[in-house]
Amino acid sequence: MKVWSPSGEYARLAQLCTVGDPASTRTPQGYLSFRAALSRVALVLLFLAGILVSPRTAHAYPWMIRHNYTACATCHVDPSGAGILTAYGTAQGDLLLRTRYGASGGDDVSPAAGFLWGAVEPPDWFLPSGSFRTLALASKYGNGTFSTTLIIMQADLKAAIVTGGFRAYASLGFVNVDGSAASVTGSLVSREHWLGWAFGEDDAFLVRAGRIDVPFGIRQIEHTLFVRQSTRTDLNDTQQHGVALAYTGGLIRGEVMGIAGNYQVSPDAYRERGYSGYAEIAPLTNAAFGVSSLVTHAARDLYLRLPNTRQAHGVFARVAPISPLVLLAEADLVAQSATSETGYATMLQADVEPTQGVHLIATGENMRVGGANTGTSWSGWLGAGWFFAPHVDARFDFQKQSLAQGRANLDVTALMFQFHAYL
Amino acid sequence: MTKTRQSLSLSVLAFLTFGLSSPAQAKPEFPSEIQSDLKLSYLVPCSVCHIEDNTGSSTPITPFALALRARGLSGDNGSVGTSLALLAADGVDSDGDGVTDIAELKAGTDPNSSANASLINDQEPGYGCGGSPPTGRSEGGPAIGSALALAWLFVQRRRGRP
Repeated sequence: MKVWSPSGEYARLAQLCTVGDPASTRTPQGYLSFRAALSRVALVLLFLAGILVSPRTAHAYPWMIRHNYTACATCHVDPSGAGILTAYGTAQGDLLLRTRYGASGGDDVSPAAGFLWGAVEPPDWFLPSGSFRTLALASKYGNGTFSTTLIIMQADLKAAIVTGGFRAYASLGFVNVDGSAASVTGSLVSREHWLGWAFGEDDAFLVRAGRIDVPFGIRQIEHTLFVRQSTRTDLNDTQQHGVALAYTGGLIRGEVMGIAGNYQVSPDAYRERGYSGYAEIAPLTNAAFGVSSLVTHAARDLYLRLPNTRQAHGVFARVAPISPLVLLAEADLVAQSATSETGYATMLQADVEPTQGVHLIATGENMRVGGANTGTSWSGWLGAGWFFAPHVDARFDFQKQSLAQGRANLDVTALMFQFHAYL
Repeated sequence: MTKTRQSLSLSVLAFLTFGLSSPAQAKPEFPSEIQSDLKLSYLVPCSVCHIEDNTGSSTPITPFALALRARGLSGDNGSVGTSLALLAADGVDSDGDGVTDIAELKAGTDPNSSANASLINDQEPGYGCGGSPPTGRSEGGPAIGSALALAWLFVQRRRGRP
C-alpha cells in the first residue's frame, strides 16, 4: 500500500483519512484495525445523523473535459453524469480533482479515496455513496437589508449495483422543506431510483427505467442557473419517472428519455408526460458540442396550475481551449402553451484551475421568458472553489442579479459559502 | 487523541455547526395574514410564494415573493402587511400582464404568471406515496448528531486517547 507524507499546515487536513495514522491503528497487513475503522464509521454516522435535514443537488463537474474526459460514463454510473462514481471515477477524483500535497503526491491514489475515506472496502459490484452539502447564504433584495440563512442543501445516501450488464441505483435522503417533488413520504426523499441493463461493445448502451435525472443540456451543480430553472432540468428535484436509453461512444454520446411523469406527485393531472434528450459530439478530446430537446404536457402544470405543453430546445458546448481554462455554454428556447409565450435562457461559464483543486469561476447568464411585457433577467457571478482534501470541497460565490418583474427589474445580491462532502 | 481523529472530529464539528444553527423557518400563518390584510375571500395557496409549494425559508422565490422580500418581508408576521402595502403603492406587476399583483390577488388570479390561473379553491398537489399536500410547515432539523459529535469529542479528549 502506497504511503505519502504531506507536510505543512495542509497535512492536518490531509491526515483526515490518509495512512498517516499511528501504527497502532493499522494491522500488520496495513488495513485499519477494527477499532480505528469503527471509530471512523461512528463519526461519519454521527455526521449523517446531524445533517440529514435538507434538499438540493448532486455533484457534476463538466469541466473535467480539461482532462480530456468528454464523456461522463467513464467516471459515473449514470452515463449522462453526476451521482455515484465508478471505481475508476473514484480513483480519478482523487488523482485529478483535489489538491495533492507533498513532493510524492503524484500518481498514487490515496487510500482515503475509497468509500468512507477508506474505512470500509465494499465488494467490487456494490458502490455505496452519499452526498452532503451545506450553504451559508447572505442575500439582499432590492433596497432591503441583507438577510442570512444557513441551509443544508443535500443530505443523501446512495448506492449502486454494477455487475455484468445489470445496473441498479437508488438514493435516499432527508429535506427540511415541505412539499418536495422528490418526497417519498414527508421529509424523506428519493431523487433517483432505477434499474438498468448495459449492453453492446464496452457496455456502450444503457437502458434503464425508474426515476432519472432528465437528460438535457449541461449537467452541473449550479441548480439555480437560468438554463436549469427555465427548462426544469436541474439535479435537485426535477427528476422524472420514465424509460431512458443512453449511448456512449468515442465520438458521440447521448440519451433519450420517455417521460411517464413524476409519480411522487399527485394527482395524476400534475404529472408531465413527453420526452427529453440530448446528443453530443466530441470532435476533439477537449471540445464537445450538443443539442437538447424536451416536450412535455401536463393536465395541470405544477408551476402554472393550468393545462400546459412545455417545450425547451437548445444547444450547448464544453471546450477547453487552453490550459487551465474551460468554457461551458448553453442556450435554450423555451415555450409554454399556457402563457402562449416563447422565451430563452443562456449561460456562459469560465472555469480556470490555476493549480489542481482550486477553481476560479465566472458565470454570466440571461433569461427572458415572460413574453413582450416582461423584461430580461441578468445574472453574473464570481466563484472560487477548492477541493482541499479527499471527498471534500468548499466554494464561495458572489452573485449579482437583475430579475425581470414585468417591465421593472429587481436587483438581488447574494454571497454564498458551500461545504460539500461525499462518501 | 490522534491527529487523524482530531482533524476528522474538528471537521465534522465544523460541518455540523451549520446543521445546528440552520433550522428552516416556514410561516404557515402567512397565507392567512395575506387573506386578512387584503380582505380576500379565499386562502392563498403556498405556491403564490413558494415554487411548487416547496415551503421553507429558502424557497419563497416566486416573482411575487421576491417583490415582497424586496419590500421588507421577513420572518416577522408584521412584515406581511408592511410589504403588501409597499407592493400596492409601487404598483408592482410581477408577471407583466398589465394587472398589478395586489389586483390579481383580489381577483383571485396568480400574480406570478400571465397564465393567470385561479387561486380560489386551488387543488394543491400531494407529495410522496401518500400524496399529502404540504402543510406549510417545515422541520427544524434538530441536528442531534451535533450534540452527539460534541459529546464524542468531549469523551475522546477526557480519555486522552493517543
